[in-house]
Parts: sequence; structure tokens; C-alpha cells
Amino acid sequence: MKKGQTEIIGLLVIVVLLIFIIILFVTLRTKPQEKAIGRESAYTASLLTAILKATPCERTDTIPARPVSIEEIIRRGIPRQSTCGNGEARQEYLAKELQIIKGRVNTNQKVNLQILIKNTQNPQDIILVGNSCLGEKTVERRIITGSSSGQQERFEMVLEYCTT
Amino acid sequence: MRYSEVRGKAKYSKKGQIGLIEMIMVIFIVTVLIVVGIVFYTGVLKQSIQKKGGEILSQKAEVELRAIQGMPEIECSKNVRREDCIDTLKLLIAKEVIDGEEKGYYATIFGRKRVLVKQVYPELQGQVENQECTQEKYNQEVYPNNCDTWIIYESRPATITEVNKISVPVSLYFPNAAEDRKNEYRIGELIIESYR
Amino acid sequence: MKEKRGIAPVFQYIFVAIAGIIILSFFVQSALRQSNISKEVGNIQTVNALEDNLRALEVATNANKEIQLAAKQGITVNKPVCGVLRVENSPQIRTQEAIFSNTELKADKLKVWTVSWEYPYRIMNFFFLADGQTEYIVQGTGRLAEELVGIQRQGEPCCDNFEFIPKIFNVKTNSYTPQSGQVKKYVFINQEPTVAPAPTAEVLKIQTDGEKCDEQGNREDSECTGVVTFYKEEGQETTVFFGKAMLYGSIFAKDKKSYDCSLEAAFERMEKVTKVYEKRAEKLFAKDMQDQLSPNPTYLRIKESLHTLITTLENKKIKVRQLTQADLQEIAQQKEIIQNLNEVLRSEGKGQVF
Repeated sequence: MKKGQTEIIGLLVIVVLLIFIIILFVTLRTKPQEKAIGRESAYTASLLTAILKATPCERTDTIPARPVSIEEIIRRGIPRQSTCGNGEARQEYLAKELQIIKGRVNTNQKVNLQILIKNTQNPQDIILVGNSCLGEKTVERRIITGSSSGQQERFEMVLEYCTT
Repeated sequence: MRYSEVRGKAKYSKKGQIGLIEMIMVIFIVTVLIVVGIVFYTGVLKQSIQKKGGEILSQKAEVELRAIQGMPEIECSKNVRREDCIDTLKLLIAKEVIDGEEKGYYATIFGRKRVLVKQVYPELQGQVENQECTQEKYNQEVYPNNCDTWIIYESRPATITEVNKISVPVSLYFPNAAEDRKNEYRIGELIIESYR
Repeated sequence: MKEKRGIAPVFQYIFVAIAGIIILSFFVQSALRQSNISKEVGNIQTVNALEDNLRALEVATNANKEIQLAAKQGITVNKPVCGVLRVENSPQIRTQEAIFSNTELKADKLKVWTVSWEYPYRIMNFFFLADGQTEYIVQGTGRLAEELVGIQRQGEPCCDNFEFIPKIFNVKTNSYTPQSGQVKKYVFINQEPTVAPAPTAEVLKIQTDGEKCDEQGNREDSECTGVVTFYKEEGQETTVFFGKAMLYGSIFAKDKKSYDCSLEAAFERMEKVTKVYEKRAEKLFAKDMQDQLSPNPTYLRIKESLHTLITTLENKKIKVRQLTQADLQEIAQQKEIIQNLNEVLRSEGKGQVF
């Protein structure tokens, strides 16, 4: 009996050791991923700056013709004589260009991007490209003041970034 | 010798043999378990170190992405003031200086990497995708609509086991000599491919 | 007949004891080896993290930070040769950064300040490191002395371009009575030192050219030039600085040898960046020639001036440890020419070189 007991204890020790090793292995395998939040913030800030600076067209009422930036179009509207679109309204033109930009910049299926430009004084004057982010997201905002029709206007441009 | 004595000896001898075999088997199994444990532990440790190495490489690449964006060799500088964009004229020069004459100096800064900038907006017409912008392309009247890629630096190791690629959108500045007000801005991506 | 009953108990105990000692020593050795490896890995991680922190700060025009280390560790900068960084006994890391500090630091919280060096265009960031063991005592009656410690005069325009040594560095003024025990660095601005160098007292004299370093508010950092003297028990050593950032560097550098290391790194980088601008001027001229009937000759002039500066820098780099005021004047004059030519381009509405 004593010998039998000793053998059983010995077996138990081995089994316990094995279980311990397996637990260690499982613990090491399933270490959670850390979120790189700083990276997303830098990405959105850089993208917003790049969008506002981009000059997709030029005004032809000056000699020589001068490039017009997206920020300028938001501030002052499309110049009367320009290569900006085919006579569309500012809203329509910007929506089209922002859609193209979003498509070219965001080629990763796992990333969702939304660009929003809203006139804080006129809720109807809004441009929205992309789907809103549900859950955790990184947001970058810029305020742009201008006057396209003689009146002071205030726009807020918002860029939302999240991983799906 | 009596039969019972012989039988007793045989009994003890068999018991001894069984005992010896038992002991050998136990030692063998324990040794196998220990070896398996060591191999297992080493494997897990190696995996963990490789993963850590990958994470460190990734972290370093992100730090470098921001640092490269702000390098005076490629960053916009207008009237001495810094501007948040990349000067495409400097990108052309970077090929001659950073990836050319002064490569030895910049190798200590960049290491084993490929650093490039690619225009993403506006979309270029024709067979321009992945065309490298060179001095020749720059001299053509259609520039910058004839190319979309600037390679700043490239240094590949003999064998590549891992490539870590990250990028960030950037504003691309196209300076105009004749008329300062005619400067154009486009959107691009600064891409770093780190090699291991 | 005697019955064989296996091995005698004594021998069993001996066998077990020997086996036990062998197994125990194996595990103890492994544990010790693991511990040493851990320490080494820790040091390597720290030096890499330090390098990453410096690179991350590189994009700032003026920023400071306290970097928390895992434990109080020894950090070696520019020792035994220029351009190397090391934590305890980690492998050396080669760096192209210009780091002004003591050659040996010991801290669990490393204080870092970075300032962009422009001469006249942005060239690189300078880094100033300290471990908190040194008190900096600035002595001088002029505005520069006040500005360095952050004293704002009444009625003066505030805050625009008002640059001072960050508070984390323990900078004191004239009236301060130094505490015993800490290493003190006395910085005399435009006056003769009144303290003799000693093992716990470092002495530095900064003589500025005119009042170009003094103006609070609107002024060019690159205009600030002068001569720096490091006082040691065995004598004194003189060198120059050009640009406000370099003036700060002289305050944090341990001695002339350490200062010269960073000066060399600065010259090296200045040469590379100037080459980029030289080629930029060349390309702008070529493009101007393509577009216009009469291309602007200023581009060619500025290209030539930049080329002259490159040659000057190459020559000065060789004698960086013996720079004199005459060398400083030469570089300053060339910088002035380049700056004026760039300004001409701006006034003509042309694309500037920088």
C-alpha cells in the first residue's frame, strides 16, 4: 500500500507539473495587443493638414492662374472663374473631391475614415463623406473662418478615424 | 539446492529485474519530460523575443516616421519658417544627396530601410502609377503629372526575414520658381519599409 | 548464501547527493545567467528607448521632457569617442545627434531639452541633457542673463520668442546661495568669473558679440554669436558659438572636449543641409530658365554662396577644436550674404531657396 501511495503521489506531481507548463504556455500565447493611440492621432492630424492644403484646381481670373486650396474653397467658395468642377456648388464639388481623397488615402479595409465639414451657423450647409465610427475612435478638428457671400462664416472640419 | 531456495532466488531475481526496469523507465520518462520542458520553454522564449523584437521595430519605425517628416532635408521651409509639408524639390535632391553622395552619413540615421513618398491625390492619368520621379522627369514640361513616387533612401540587407511597413499622409509641396504664388499642393504618403 | 538486496544505503545517499548537487548547480547557473541577460537586455532597452525619445523630440522647435528610467542608471555620452551613447555596459549606439551634456550622467529621471538650431535655415535640433546633480548659477547683469533664468522685465513685450532654460534644470540667479554637496556650474555672461574652478565647481564665461543675444521679443536667434571660455583648474580653453542654441549648448557641455564633439556633429549636418539647398537653388534656376525668357540671376548667386559656405564648413570641420573668432566671422559673413540673397528673391515674388 505504501509503495502504491508513493507511486500515485509521484504521478500526481508529474501531472501537476504538466498542467503548470500548459497554463504558462497558454498565458504567454494570449497576451493582449496594446493599442497604438499616438499613431492614430498623428495620422489624423497629418491627413487633415494635407487635405486643407491640397490645391485641386486653379483660379483663372488672375494672371498668371493661381492654384486654389480646399481650405480657400471652404472659406470663400469656388472662385467665379476657375477650373474647380463644372459649375457645381461648393458643397457638391467638395463632397466629390473629399470622396476621391478618402478613397485614395484609405486603402485599408480595416480602417474607417469619415470627413465632415459643417457650417456652425447654417446646419443645412454640411458635407459628409464616409461612415461614422462606432466605438473607440480618434478625432481631429479644425475651425475655419471665412466669408463666401459677404457674411462671416465659421466652419468646423472633423476627421474621424477608427479600426473596424 | 532445495527447490524452495531456487524458487525464492528466482522470485527475488525477477523482483529485482522488475524493480530495475521500473527505475530505468522512471528515469527515462523524467528525463524526457525535462527535455520536453526545456525545448518548450526555449521555443516559447524565442517566440516571445521575436515578438518583442517585432514590436520594438514597429515602435522605432513610428518614431522615425515622425522624425523623417520633420527632417530639414525634406521638410518645407518658406522664408525660413517651417511649414507642415514635404518639399518635392527636396525629394528629388534627396535621391542625389541622402541616397547618393552622403549615403554613409545617412545610413547611421536610417539603417536598413526603404523610405519613399508616393502621391495619392490627385489621381494621375495614364501609365503613371509607381513611376519614379527623376531629374529627367522633372525637366519635362508635364512634370509633376508624369510620375508619382520619390525614393528618398534605400538600403536592403542581403537576406530579408521580415518587412515592417508603415505610412502617414503628408502634404506635398510643388514649388514654382517663376512665381511664388503659383505653388501647388497635393496629397501623398510617406512610407517606411523596415527590414530585418 | 547471502541475499543480494541492491545497493547499500550509504552509496544510495552518496549517489542522490551528487545527483542533487549537479541538478541544483545547473539550475542556479541558469538562474544567474538569466539574471545577467535580463540586466543586459534592460540596459539595451533603455539606450534604445533613450534614442527613440530623442528622435521623437527632434521635430519640436523647443520642447523639454523628463525621461523616467527603470532605475538609477549610468549614461555615457560622447565618451570614449564623439557620437556614442551608452547605458551602463550596454553596447554603444552611434548617433548623429548633437548632444550637449556631462559625459557621465547618473539618474533615474533624465532631463532633456531640445531647441531647433537655425543658421540661417533650420539645420538640426540640439539636445541638452542633465541628471539633476548640477546646479546652474547664471551671473550677469544684462538682459541675456535675465532671459536665461526666465526673468521677464516689466513693460517688455511678453512671450513671443521669449526663450529661457526650462525650470527642470535647476537654474539659479546672481543672488542665490549655492547649497553644499551639489556640483555647481557658474555661468558668467559678459563678465569676468569671480569663482575659481574646483572639483565641484565648473566655470564658464560667455562673451557675446554686441547685444545681438540680448533682445527679447523680435530677434533672430542666428544673429547671436560669440566666444565661450571653459575654465579648468589646469587652465582655460576657448571656442566659439553661432546661434542661440549653441550658446545653450556651452552651458550644458561638460568641457570644451565634449562641446567640440557636438560642434563637429553640427558642422557635419550643416554641410549636408547646405548641400541640399545648393542643389535646390540650382534646380530652381534651371526651372526658371525653362519657364522664363530671362531667368533670375539671384538663383545662381545664392547657389555660389552656398557652395562657398560648404567649402568653408569642410575646412572648419578639420580644425573644429581650434576655432577662433576669425573663423566665426567668416561663417557669419557668408550666412549674411545667403540670407540677403534669399530675401531678394522674396521681394521679387520669386520662389525662395529656403
